[in-house]
Amino acid sequence: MPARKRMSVWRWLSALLVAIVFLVPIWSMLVTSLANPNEAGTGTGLIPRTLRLENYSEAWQATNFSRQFLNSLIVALTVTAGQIVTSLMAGYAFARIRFFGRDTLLMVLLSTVIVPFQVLVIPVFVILAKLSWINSYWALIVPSLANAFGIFLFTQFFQTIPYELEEAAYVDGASRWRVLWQIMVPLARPAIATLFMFTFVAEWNELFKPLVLTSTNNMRTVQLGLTVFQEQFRVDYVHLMAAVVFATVPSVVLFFLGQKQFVRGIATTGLR
Amino acid sequence: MTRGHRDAVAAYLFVLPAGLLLGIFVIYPICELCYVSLHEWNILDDRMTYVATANYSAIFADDGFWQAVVNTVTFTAVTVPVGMAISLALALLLDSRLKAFGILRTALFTPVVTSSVAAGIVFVWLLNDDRGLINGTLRWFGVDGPNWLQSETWAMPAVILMWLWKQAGYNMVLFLAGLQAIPSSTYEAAEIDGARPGWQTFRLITWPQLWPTTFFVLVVSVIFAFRAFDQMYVMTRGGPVGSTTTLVYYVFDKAFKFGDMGQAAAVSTLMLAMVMALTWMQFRFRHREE
Amino acid sequence: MLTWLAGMACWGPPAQRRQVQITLWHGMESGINNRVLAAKIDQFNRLHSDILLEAQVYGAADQLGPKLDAAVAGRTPPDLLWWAPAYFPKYAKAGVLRSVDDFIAQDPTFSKDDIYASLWELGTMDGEVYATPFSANNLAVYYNKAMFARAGIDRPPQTWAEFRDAAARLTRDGVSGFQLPIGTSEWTVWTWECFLWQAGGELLTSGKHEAAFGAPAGVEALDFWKSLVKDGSAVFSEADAGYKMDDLLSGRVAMVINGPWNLALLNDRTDVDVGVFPLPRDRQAATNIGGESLFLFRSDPAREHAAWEFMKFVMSPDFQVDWAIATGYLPVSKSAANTERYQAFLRDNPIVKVHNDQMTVGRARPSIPEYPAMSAILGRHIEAALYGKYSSEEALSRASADVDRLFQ
Repeated sequence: MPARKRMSVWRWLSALLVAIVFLVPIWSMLVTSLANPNEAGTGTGLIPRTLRLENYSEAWQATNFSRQFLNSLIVALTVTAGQIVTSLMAGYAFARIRFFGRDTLLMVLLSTVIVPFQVLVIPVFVILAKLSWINSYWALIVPSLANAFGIFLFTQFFQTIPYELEEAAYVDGASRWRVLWQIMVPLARPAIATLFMFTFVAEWNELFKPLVLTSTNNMRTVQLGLTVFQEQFRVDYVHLMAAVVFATVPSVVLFFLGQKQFVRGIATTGLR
Repeated sequence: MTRGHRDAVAAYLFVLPAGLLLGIFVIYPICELCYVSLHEWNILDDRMTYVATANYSAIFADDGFWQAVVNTVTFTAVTVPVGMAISLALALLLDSRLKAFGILRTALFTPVVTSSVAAGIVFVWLLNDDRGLINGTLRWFGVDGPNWLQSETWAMPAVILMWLWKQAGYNMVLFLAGLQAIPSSTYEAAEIDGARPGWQTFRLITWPQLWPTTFFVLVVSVIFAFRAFDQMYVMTRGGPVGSTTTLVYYVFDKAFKFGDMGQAAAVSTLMLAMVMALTWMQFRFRHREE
Repeated sequence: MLTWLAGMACWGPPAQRRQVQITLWHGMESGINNRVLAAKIDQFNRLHSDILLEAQVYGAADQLGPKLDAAVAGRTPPDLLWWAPAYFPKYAKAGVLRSVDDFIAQDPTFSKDDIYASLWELGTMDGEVYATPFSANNLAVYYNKAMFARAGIDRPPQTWAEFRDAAARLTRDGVSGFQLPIGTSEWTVWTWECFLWQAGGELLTSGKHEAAFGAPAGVEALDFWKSLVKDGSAVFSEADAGYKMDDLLSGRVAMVINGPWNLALLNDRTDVDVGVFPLPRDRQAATNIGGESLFLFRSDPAREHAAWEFMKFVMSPDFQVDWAIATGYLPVSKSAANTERYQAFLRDNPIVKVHNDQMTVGRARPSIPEYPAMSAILGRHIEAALYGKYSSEEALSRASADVDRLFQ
């Protein structure tokens, strides 16, 4: 069918073109980050003329990026681990155990997904201020340790696992706690990977929370540090882009490593 | 204790950590938010004075609030339908098992995982008045581009442009999942009935079958658009002259620039009500479908 | 020997535990000013073996307000804060600052009279001193000398009319004559206040609880800015970044308004020849005295006393001269300004001398708790007027109404 074939060539070309258009900003960021600092005065275009790797080390040293990376890592990893644990436990209970008020409780907890942190920032701020947690890791970590998305993900996931896998363990007299950690958790690895990706990337990219809850440079995360760096180096686009590149690398690399889980996570639940 | 009782206790204990955290940091704050919105609160000396609805009347009397409402509505009304149309088109275009198409899908999804701070800074550079790539390209076509981020007229379109770029891949994935859920037998049946592939199949099969996904994407997009903040913070700081101050940005300004927590809480309460109404509508709609 | 050891033991816990730890928050993110301060803090810590002062950076001084409020609300404020003195009254009123009057009175090693009285005034509310001067500065016009020569301007403009004319003549070949600060933050307001005063206007009425900037002088000042935009001879800075020298240094504009702290930066840039002249005058000459002070937050007597030691260290002639010479900031004390070292420095650095001489026409922002809110209101309305949303008159009358509400 020649008509069909021509169609697919068109489709090919347009798909390619669209992808290229979408990649232009990222490409431009890379080219600029490697340009000669004087070059940015005239614009850098899309064809790299220089590959000046020193821009990266210069940008890295221009401000306290190592501390900010450390802060972001601590926050993102702790929050991610915490969310995985709290979601696994709750998800297992909701999927497997009958108890009074289960459906109501599940609905109440899941409905929290629609309330954006931006809307609740004032009362959360009040609570954290009363705890004297402002400008500390506690403020950045504790409020994010549980999340409706994770509960939903694991509740759904555990419902797909056949009961038989647990039965034998109960016959041996194992507790729910042991079954969860020894049988269900190993089975839930794909869902754990999905939640890990999602939460880590979301936490790594978070701006609003550290912006509101921290005050000094030693508590800044990478994204917040980047906005401060932008204020200082507003017109030095070469170093600005270099900083943007290394602040973006962790989440993008993680995404490339686990694309499948990532996309499946969105497709099955629809929400971050 | 019977097995069932033991199980119930275990269940409550399992739900406890998540329940407690969500209770303290989401559910209780919702009540606290309404409470603060009825008070004048000086965060420095921690005094709360009951002022009834004074905060609400103050924001209703503030031009800045209405400007933020208009900006939020504009932002949502443009990004949601345009973004959905782009994402649907991309999903239809890239719905293929070919490996190469998988790579292209990855390319389109990369903006989603870059932080909005990074993306915002990159767009500030692309939108630079005389050195930026966008005005450079326009100049090539003989068009003298505006000074995007410093123009009251063009700052919002610029922020929207960046948003569309960043979010397109996300909704595309949702649409792809929806497309793949449509059984191929439906298409085959249609073909036997004489429907030509292309527009006709799309109109008769794909669109109606995809409708639940579309509706879901709509709700998610509205909620995302509603809480947009980072882009404005990085690209325009809500300016110039408040032209990109959305409601979330207005709350941020009120609370953390002017220290007026009561009024900020009043605006947040209204936003919360809107989000809840929207979700309720979606819930009702779904039930009717089923 | 044994008695000596015994004596040591009686001295109690080891030095590490004896130390009083205090924090200083400042806004110097990087560059030479930050390095000089770090070196000075090291020196302070060596001189005071019982105190350990640690500095933390809060970033842009323009955006500190909410962050500091959060820290105070969370009961984790710093011991010392480096910030513009116009901001202290809000915190003094909230009762979180400690007055230093008793320290001054009881400290025989400190002479209050050595510091300029006008600077003490900036840090005083209801007769009590809460903020001690760290350094002083004011605003002047920085210009590209080569562009002036090319435009045939051999004498810096002295009046508004001459300034407007110069800006127009300098606007050519893609270069703009002047860069106006834009954005709603304090920088815009601070700069505009100079023009208000030059036109003979006042921010507040003499009772300091009613706006006065909406009077004809204010309208003239705002109209003057608008006329520069209308002439096409002024461009806007990037939003909230009016303090950036980049556009002047890269040759995109010929004149900007800025301060002496750029000295190190300018000395580094040998490729452009930058000169300075006093702000133009209208009915009178005026500039805005700025600089930073140290605010002392309440804690416990030991920490408060340690913090006072640092305040005193900063006001000492030794610190002031070193700091002024390294950074371009103006010294806060007569003894520092009169040292031979500083006088020689002024002879070699005409840029700083312009600022130093301008101190005689310097005015200061009012030390009232409402200033930050007032500045935010003014900033928004000045921006709206410059963007042509309101006439100068309407913008200022709207701003006046909002400001008057602050005092109700």
